[in-house]
Amino acid sequence: MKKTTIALALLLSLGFAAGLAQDAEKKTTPVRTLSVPSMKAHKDLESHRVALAKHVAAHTVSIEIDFDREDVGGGGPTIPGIPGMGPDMSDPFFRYDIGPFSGLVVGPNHILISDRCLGEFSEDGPSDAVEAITATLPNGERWPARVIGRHQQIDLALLELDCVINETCPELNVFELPTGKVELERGTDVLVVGRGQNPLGALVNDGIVSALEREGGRAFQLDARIGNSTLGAPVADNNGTLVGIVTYHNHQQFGQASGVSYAAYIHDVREAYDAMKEGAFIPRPPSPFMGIGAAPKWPDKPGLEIGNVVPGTGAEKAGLQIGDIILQVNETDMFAQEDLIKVINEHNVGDTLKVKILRGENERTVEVTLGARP
Amino acid sequence: MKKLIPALALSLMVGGLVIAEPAPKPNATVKKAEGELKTLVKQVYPAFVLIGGGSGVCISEDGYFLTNHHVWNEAAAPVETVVKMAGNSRRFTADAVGADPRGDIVLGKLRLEEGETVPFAPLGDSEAVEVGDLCLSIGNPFLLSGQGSEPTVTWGTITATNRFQGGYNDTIQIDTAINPGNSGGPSFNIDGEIIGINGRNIASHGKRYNTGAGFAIPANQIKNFMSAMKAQSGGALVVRHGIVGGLTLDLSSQEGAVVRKVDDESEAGDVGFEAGDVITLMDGMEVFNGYRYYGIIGTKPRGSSFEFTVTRGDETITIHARNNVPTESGQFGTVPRPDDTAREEDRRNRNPFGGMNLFALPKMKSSLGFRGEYNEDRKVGGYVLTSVVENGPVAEAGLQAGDVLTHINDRHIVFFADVHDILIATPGGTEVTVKYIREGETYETKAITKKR
Repeated sequence: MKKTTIALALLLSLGFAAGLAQDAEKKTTPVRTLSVPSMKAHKDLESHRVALAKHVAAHTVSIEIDFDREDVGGGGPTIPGIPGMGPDMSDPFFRYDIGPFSGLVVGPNHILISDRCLGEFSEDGPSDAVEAITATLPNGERWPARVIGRHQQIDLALLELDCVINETCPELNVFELPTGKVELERGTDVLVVGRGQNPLGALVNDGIVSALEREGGRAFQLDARIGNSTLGAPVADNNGTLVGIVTYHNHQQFGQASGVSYAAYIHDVREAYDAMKEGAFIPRPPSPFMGIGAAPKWPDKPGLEIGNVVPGTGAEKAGLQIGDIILQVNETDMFAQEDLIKVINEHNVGDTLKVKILRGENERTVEVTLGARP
Repeated sequence: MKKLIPALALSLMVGGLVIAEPAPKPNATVKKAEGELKTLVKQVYPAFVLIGGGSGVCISEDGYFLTNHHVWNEAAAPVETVVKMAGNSRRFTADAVGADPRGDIVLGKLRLEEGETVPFAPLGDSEAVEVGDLCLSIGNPFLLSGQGSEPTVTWGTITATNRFQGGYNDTIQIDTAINPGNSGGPSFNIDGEIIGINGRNIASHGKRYNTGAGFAIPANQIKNFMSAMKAQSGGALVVRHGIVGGLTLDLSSQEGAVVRKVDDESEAGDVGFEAGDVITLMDGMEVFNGYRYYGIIGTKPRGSSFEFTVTRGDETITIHARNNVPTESGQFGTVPRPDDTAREEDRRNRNPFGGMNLFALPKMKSSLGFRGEYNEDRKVGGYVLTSVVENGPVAEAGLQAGDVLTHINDRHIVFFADVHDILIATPGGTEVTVKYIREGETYETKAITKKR
């Protein structure tokens, strides 16, 4: 009996000792660490980006726009005049989008925002549905702001803070708009620095320049995954130079975070700012209109056959007829509708185009004056 | 030193606002990385082509280009369209040379002047692509290039490789912004080689915007299909994918592809597969589950041979088998159904960028007037006629139900896919040679196809 107990105890203690030994072995086994390569180059990229973001963010404010919900349409929460920012009931993640949006300080008391945030264009301020505009400064102070200029074509509006700088409110950091042309290339690094839900913090997206010629040459394209709050945010290059402002964002088409967004070129921004600070309200100019519908006649040579002529337009006045085949406009071959649209869009209402047509066997050239699109 | 800190902090705050720090100057690394990317964009950009509602890329100086099958179908009549090259608005008429509908690829060719050459980008080695690699994509998202010819360049990372996505059997996942209109466009590695053709993305709730997950058809798969696509030279425009006939896998296993069943008288049976075998490698590539088998088997055209490394009990053996059965007849394949057209139209109406019916095959131009089925008797092979249309082409030629059709124009017929391949390239009123077996005797006759 005794012997068994001892044997058992021995066995147990042996087992215990073995367990201890195992534990000891575990403890002495060095912790396996992943071998991380030196990220020196990336540390450089990272710290540069952070410094850049801080630099740019110091010049931005957060802008809230209060819409009168009674006024913005019965039946449902719609905001007239803000393209694509109305509700999409099929979208379970729909959020009522009234900001905050981003604003950029460009003068002692001047803030630029994207014009489409103000609703429909009017020549005396934002749309009637807008009740109040509030700017939150980087230090958290909130001040009312009013609209002193709008430029629909560049999609910018200019706000003025309702405070006395250096007396009732602090001096703001003014981002000087660069003079001269800023050169951009496809592949240029850009940083978009907005200010959104948290007005004290920045909202940063990085990306590259995706394309240079958008909106008739007035915008460039970025692959930064911006959201609606970033509308109006400055776009900076690696030198911290202001190269554009996020505008023209077509929510309905691009969505948010799709990696497709537009920014106005900084030279256009400067021009628009100069006009708006003088109190200008500039609607989008009427788009030029010839007054015909045409389709390609042949697959492999120029020729657009006219299918309809709108009465009262330049085309009708110039005597263009259904069945005429447009060979050239201003000496450019017309292969497809888009060629015609391109030439027309490069001109203004009132300009005259030389249109070479084939009618039956005969070629002739007529002059067509562009009207305004009805 | 310690005293300086509060002083510094104070000096940064004036009237409660942070004074802007001066703009940081980019150091050499930042400048160099950006300069390299701009150069890469310049180098590959001119090879891009705009096609209808999508994108494409030139892969040879004599004008061969790639796009998605669904882009080509949307863009054009079956065999001809107009494409524009990036940056110069130059227009070319282009012809479809061959297509891989299930792989969602069309090989096209620009009509060039004698001796004329165009910019192109080479196809790279997509097997060398690693997760974390950088990636440049070019495309025409939302058709933004509009009246111009300027596509969109986007920059990102390889998220995953060897993703099985049904018809996109072995796809590369990328996080460059890919949106509707990017379809058919290239993704490049940082050496400027095409690693894949972008064709799909994972879209956000009900919309088609990018969510950060795009899928590219790998360059190596496209290379595997290249000679077969070239050989179509504007003909049937269909190169098919295949699976190993008679091989059924247990798709629930994650430890290799486990063979559940092997049919007698099948490719799998003939080459010696047995139930319980575990496929661990195919052509040297690791097979971690049954889906990976479907992934790899789709990277080569139907009829290609694969080397299988198989664990059977304690043994490791090597088996060579062909993907002889057209994918449309097997799992993960679809044969177009009558309601497909209606469904497709519905989808298109709801979404202007719809039309993602990736596997729509060209319609047959003519018919031979019979129904039939795969011949279980594999020693005889061919296709058994179950009924013939009265006064139809084969009935006129003397065939009847029960005959085994073995050849049309010397092409061996096993599946309806084989008949389909021929008839999509054969107009009505064409004389074809038909070989068939009746009661053990082989006959040969002529039939005239009927326009559909």
